[in-house]
Amino acid sequence: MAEEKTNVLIVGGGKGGAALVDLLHRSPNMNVAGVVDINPDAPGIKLAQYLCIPTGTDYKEFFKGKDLDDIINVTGSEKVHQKILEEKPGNVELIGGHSAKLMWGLVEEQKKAREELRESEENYRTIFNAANDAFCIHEIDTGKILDVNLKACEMYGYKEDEFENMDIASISSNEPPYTNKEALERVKKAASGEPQIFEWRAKKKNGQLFWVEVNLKEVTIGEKERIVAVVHDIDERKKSEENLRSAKEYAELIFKVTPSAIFTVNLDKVITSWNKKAEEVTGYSIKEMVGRKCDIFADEPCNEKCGLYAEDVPKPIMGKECIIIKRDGTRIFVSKNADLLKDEQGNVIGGIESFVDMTTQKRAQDMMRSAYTELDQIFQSAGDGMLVFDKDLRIVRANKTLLDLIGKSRRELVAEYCDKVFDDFIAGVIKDSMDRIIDGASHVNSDVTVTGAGGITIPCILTVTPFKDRDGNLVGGIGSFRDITERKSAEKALLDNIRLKSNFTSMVSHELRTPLTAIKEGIGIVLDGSAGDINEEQEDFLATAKRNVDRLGRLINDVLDFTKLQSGKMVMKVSQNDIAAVIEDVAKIQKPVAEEKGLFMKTEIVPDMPNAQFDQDRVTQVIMNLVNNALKFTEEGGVTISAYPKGQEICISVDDTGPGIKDNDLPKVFQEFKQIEDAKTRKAGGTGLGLAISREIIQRHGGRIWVESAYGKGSQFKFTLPVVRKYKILVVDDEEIFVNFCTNVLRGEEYEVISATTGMDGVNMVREERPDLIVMDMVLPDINGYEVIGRLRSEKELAPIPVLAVSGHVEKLKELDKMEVSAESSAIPRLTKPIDPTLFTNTVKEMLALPE
Amino acid sequence: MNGLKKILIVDDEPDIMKSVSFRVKKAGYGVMEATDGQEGLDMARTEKPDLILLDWRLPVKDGGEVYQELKADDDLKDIPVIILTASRETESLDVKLKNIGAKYVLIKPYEPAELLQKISELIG
Repeated sequence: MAEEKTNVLIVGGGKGGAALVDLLHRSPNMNVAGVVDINPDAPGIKLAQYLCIPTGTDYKEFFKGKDLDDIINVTGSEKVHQKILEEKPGNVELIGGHSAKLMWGLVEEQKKAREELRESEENYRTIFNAANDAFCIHEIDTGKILDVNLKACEMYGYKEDEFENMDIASISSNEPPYTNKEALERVKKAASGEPQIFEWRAKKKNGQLFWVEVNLKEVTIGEKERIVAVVHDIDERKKSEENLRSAKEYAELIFKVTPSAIFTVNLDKVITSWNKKAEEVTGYSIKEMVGRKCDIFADEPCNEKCGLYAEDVPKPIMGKECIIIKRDGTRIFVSKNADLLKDEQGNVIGGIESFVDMTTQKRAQDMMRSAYTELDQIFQSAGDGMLVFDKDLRIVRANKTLLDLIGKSRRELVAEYCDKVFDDFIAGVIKDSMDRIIDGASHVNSDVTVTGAGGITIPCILTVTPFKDRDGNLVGGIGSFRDITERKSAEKALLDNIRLKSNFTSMVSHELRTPLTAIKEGIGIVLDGSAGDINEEQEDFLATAKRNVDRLGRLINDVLDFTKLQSGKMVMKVSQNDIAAVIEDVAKIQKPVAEEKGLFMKTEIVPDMPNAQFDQDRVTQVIMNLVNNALKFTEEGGVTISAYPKGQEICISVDDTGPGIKDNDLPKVFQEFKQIEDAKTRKAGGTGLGLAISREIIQRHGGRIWVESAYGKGSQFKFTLPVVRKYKILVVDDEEIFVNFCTNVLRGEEYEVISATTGMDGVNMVREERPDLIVMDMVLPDINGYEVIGRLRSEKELAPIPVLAVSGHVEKLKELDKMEVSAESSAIPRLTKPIDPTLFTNTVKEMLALPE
Repeated sequence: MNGLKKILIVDDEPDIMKSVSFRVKKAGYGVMEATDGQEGLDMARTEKPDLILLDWRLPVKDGGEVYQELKADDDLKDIPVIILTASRETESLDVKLKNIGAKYVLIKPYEPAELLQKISELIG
């Protein structure tokens, strides 16, 4: 009844007012008549407006026509309190000051308690749902499910509301003993205070059965006794337990059927199991063996040192070969594996061994051994003296040929160091060769002289090759000594022969030249009229004689030249020359000869021909020779000498308008004493050596000579000479002084010096400029020289460019020793600053393979 | 002698001597002949020729030895020497000639015109 309610006016809309509004408006016997505050935005005012409670700024408004019972002053102001006291109607009670405060405190406390309760409820729910185990709350009498957590939903596959009032049977397999009845009994026991933890066969919504562990507990919820079931999924554990069980069964099966003999022993080496195969292999039955010490069938050394039970040998034994004694006393080879047996805590409780009969494998090995014997026979009977040595240069094997060669017995050699067996020179060669093999060389050949039995010296070629094990690891070297006595003497004979021939030829030509001079002078004196007048006929014959004497003289010269070229006695005096000038000279000399025959003689030389290095006299001789030939064979037209650059070479061509050369004659052109059979040739008075000599001369210059011709259309004799190369040298150094030093020392036409001041600039410049040589300072502002070299070596195209390392610090240069050395990338030459200019240029030349 | 330029020819080959001698005389020079190295040296000392034509291969003392002795003698060292040789092993001869400092060399069979031109260049 509304009239019975107490009408309350709240003065003050602060926190206290708001709390009071909140509390009082819910109260069944209170009615908030209004809330007053001078601030219309005060929380109490806002709350009141929200709750449709009248508000205002002056409490007096609420005095009229309203049956106010109480005014509660929560402003906390004594002044306001006094004022209300004076103005309020007499029947209205004013609560304020201390009483209001007390009330407000109560309200606050209640509110706080409410919040805490809510919070703890929430917490509980969170925990309840977040738990890894399923929680089900059951009614004790019926076992019906009252509440579950999220995990339970997940575990059983039901939604939360589906669980409501479900009985235990629905989530059990219902196969005895996992029935509802059984479950209820356990619930009752739990309710009577007897803790229940048991495994249970549970059922999901989809019918799938799984193992759970259930823990039942009695709890009081809302003053009622309930049972909470904490359900833990143990299906995986169960499965692995089952697996374990089946693994054990497997193991037992394997134990029975495996082709290996297997037995186990305990710590006293007493056999605890013995399989079928073990019976088969050894002849001992399981009955005989179990309970006996295992050494009954072991051969002595095997028993002694398996290492199996030694604590410091924890590794299993694999593939150990040993001998066992069978029941009948025969011994057989077995290959055995063994390991310790441990219990669950890891304590050694015994050992397990398995072994297979190796007798058949043994036979295969024996066959291999016989193959080895065959190889050894080959080794022993090899024509070369051979020895095998290890990395320490200790001799492992030596064949009979070697023993015969050096006149020593096998006992003197084997296991001895090379330097004890061979003289210092050979021992040194072996050591150096081996060093190179270790650096990756595939073989190293050296000329050595072996001192054999009785002090006979035998020239040999010693070839050292790598000796590798079957995994390809270098374990030593194989040295083979080839007796080259016969070859040496044949070589000597050949050389002697060449020398003799050459000497003979030069002697003969000298001896020929003296009478030739006398003949020539005799004819000449008469022919030129010095010795008196001669008639025309006499002059004609003498002229013929003179022409032939001259021809004989040329022949002698050609033969001598050719012999010298062949025996390598002719040295080319190579220098930088102007090929254009040489050609013009020849043309000038030959022009009258051409004009006499009614032929033209012209030159076509590309302007600014690059300089070439050649022996001016010899190349003149070649061009002269070619022009001579061309003029000889040409009857109409003429001869053109042209020159033009062609790549790294210059090409000189002597073209005629003569008859040309037949295809099948082309290959013969440059052969000595091979004149193309033609009456004209003989008439022309050739020696048959001119082109052969030209070929030799051009080849000695590093050039090529060839002929192009179409029969009937003239011939083009062409040859090339290498152009003088300018070597590009890159100096990488941040010190200007050193760059200037290089530029000064390498001045001249041969070199072009470029420089970079940082490592990275250096690398880039190498990429762009492709220098012929790099002079690399080891200390640079950015990356050091060592790193720069490493980068260059990692790029295939840059790696072959030779690098000369320089530094003022010896230890910086030593860093280079770390660099890998192989056939492709050799050790880096190095010079310590300050560098002697001559040493520097010589090193550069040597590295560029130029003559010093 | 009577103002005629004297040329000493040292050669062991009589036929060569004959034609060289003929050419030189014909060109208007006085000629002295020696047939081995030692004789050539002796004659050079006694006769003081204006020019010497020296063969390379000579008995007793070869051309190289004679040349060196001539050049070592203060009285003779200024006499120009033309070496005439049939040897054409250019390298070894070149080296030898270079070693002894020889300047003028003609290879046999020489061109008579070249020989006479060289002589006139040296002594007029």
